Amino acid sequence: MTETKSTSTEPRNMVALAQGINTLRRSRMMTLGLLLVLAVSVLALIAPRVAPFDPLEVDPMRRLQSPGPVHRMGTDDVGRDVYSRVLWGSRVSLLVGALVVVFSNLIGIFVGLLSGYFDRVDKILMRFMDGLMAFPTTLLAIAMMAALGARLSNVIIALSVVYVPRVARVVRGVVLTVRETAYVESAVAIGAPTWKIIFFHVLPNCLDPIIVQSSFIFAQSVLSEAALSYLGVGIPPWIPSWGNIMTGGRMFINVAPWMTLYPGLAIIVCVLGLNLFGDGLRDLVDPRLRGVI
Amino acid sequence: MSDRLLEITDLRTYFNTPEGTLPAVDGVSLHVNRGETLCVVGESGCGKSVTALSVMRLIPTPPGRYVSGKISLAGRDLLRLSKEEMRRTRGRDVAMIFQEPMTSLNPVHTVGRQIAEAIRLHSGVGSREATERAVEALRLVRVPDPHLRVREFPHQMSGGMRQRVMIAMALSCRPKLLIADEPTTALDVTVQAQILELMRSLKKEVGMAVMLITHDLGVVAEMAHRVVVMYAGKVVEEGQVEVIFGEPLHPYTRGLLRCIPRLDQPRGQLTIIDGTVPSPLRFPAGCRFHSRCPDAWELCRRQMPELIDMGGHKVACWLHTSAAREVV
Repeated sequence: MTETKSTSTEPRNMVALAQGINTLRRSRMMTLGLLLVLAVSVLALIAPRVAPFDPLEVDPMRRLQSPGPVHRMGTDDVGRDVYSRVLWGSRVSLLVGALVVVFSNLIGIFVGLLSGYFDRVDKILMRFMDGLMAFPTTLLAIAMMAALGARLSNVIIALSVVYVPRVARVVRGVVLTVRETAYVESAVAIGAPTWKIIFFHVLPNCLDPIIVQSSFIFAQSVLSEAALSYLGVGIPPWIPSWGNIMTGGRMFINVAPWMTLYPGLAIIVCVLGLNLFGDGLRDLVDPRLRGVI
Repeated sequence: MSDRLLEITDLRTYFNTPEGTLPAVDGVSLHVNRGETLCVVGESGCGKSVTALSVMRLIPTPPGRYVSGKISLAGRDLLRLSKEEMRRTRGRDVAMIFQEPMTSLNPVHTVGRQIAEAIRLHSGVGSREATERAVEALRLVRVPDPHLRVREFPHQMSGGMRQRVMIAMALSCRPKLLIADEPTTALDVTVQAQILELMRSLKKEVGMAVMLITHDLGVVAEMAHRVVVMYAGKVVEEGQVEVIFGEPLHPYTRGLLRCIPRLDQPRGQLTIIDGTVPSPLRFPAGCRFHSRCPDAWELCRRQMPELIDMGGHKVACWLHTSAAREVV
């Protein structure tokens, strides 16, 4: 180990920014993913301004029109503009994805920290998590939706519950290694209370895998939301979500394939972007792939 | 008696293992006076680190177990404190630095932040003042440009610098006793000398006592006032550093001293003590050193010698016990 020259003459933010840009330049796929995610997010934000039609406005005169200059992605069986509906649908999908990430992380991190740090609760909590993981994801979500009822908030709750065990597992694994490190031992030796060790020393070291995991959970819940809505147990049918739009097109797939094609493409773009971004993040965080520790 | 800061009496720290009970520390008694440096020496596995960790109550229980004994720090028995009382004692009254400076700092926080957190634990000052004190703490341990260095992360520092940070953190709350468990083992020789020099001058400035765990007799000669030699979980010899180096009594201590290469003697093969420390699971009967001892005789194989006091110089060996008896 040689002494590293201090870089503190430059403002730290600028250094971090330069490093970030450098990283993006090296990993093209991650950049592509980030751009796709950003594009979808921006469209979702400005959907009310850029959508040419009201996504709920029914126009019987313009039913099942194929894509053209007025209706870029055609119209559906009651004459609603598919383009406007897909734009508005992105808001639902991203909202579900973001909130599922937030809630599953909140609970998952808590459970993971507890069970990784305290041996006494570990067995109980982890067996419970194993139980949740034993169900196929979609099946568990369907069962919960059936019990809770088809509402947007319930979709978020159901999917959060589904993804809690994954977060908990990842966090617990990291905690198990971090709590044995020399710096945790020295923190105990200096008299740090347990809560401080957990939140000051252990939690920040779990953040890398949590962030990587979050990008995948985001992608997964966008997919799951679409699947639930498509199966009719997700978002109520009158809310334009990507899954709902596809369900509506199912009956007309022979005469009006655009009704299913475009929301499907939207899902693909969104999930692909998130996954590429997540892969890139994982490679960045994994010291074996980065080459340095 | 009142100048005794730390007094360990008949400490027994055992570990439960699948193969049986492992008496890592088996009836150790020693003391550290205020302001002095006590060196605890011995080979790997002789129980010196477990003794140190027992004082901090950092032995995980289970599998560890404090079977008996008393660890009295400034009159309080640490083994009888509640967990919360013990937590408040750590860092404030007794602090510890470890062997691995490379991993003893959290990689995700700046060193300044970590020192500041340690300061806030026991002083209750605000974060801004704690940060200022962290700069002072770095200056105290002679880190150059402390106001810049506080903003660095551990990976930006060398091993020696990190050990200085560890010392700064340990001293931040002015403990009465600093336990250093082989603080220089992982460092380069030149850096070792710097760290030892630093510890010696800080000891004077801060006025604390130091319990230094090491297997390096060179370090002992540099630092110690008194020396405790441990072997197989027991204290075998104890005395002032001049006495231990000048007229060692225990064959083990003599063996250790013979192993130091010397410049004033013809070069050749280095001396070693034959064999290794016996496993704590299978300590031999009698004196635990007898199987490796050149001077062992019949009694050594049968009975464990007690530590006897020969005017401040204590030794646990039948050669001297019986000699003492004959004299009496």
